[in-house]
Amino acid sequence: MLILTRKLGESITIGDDIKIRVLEIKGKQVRLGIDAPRKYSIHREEIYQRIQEENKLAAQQSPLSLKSLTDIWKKKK
Amino acid sequence: MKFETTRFGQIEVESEDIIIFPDGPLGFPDCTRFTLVDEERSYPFRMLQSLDNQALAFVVVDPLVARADYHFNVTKEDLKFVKSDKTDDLLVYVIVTMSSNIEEVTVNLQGPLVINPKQKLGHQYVLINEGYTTREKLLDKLDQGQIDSSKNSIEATKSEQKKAI
Repeated sequence: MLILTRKLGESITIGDDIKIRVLEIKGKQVRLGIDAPRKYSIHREEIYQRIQEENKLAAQQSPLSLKSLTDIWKKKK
Repeated sequence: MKFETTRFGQIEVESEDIIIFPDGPLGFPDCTRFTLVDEERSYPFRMLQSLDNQALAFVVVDPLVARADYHFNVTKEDLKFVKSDKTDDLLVYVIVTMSSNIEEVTVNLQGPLVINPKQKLGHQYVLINEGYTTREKLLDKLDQGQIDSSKNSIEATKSEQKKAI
């Protein structure tokens, strides 16, 4: 892993089109501003992972059939 | 075209019914081709079946079924993922995580699937500041939940927002 030290207001660039700037440092929190083309999806890592995990969970075969879910849903409606 | 699927056996899919998710749903980057399959008597729940991995199928539902007031904001830039410049024609689905206990069935309102039916393109968005989580109980608020197809659950904001993490 490349490790760089940056001060408030300083940036790093990645390739030609990605720029990450340190906008604010407050205690243990750092605010970063990221300029990048939209072809790159940028996410907070924990949210990205949570959705990834939820997708994997949702992809598992369910013991509950779609039909019984629908039946109960209709009753509740 | 014929495809083998674990759930439905061999299915015939017209090329116009194939939806491409160029990045795949998160966690499934190699699964880019999907089609929507309806099981008998299962409306409003639908299956989003992978055509690249026969075992992969998601239960999806219109998010307004779970939350009548569901909505999120997208920028013009966001819409480029599905090659669209307006939200009117887009379809939004959320993935259902099934459970043997019906009370535990959840919907992922934080990672909606947006489909542009004209372009046959789909993308899973990650919502950050909309107040939704990946595990919202489906049955919790069903009393208020109604499908209102006249409402569109995404609103475009014209300003391009810089991403700040």
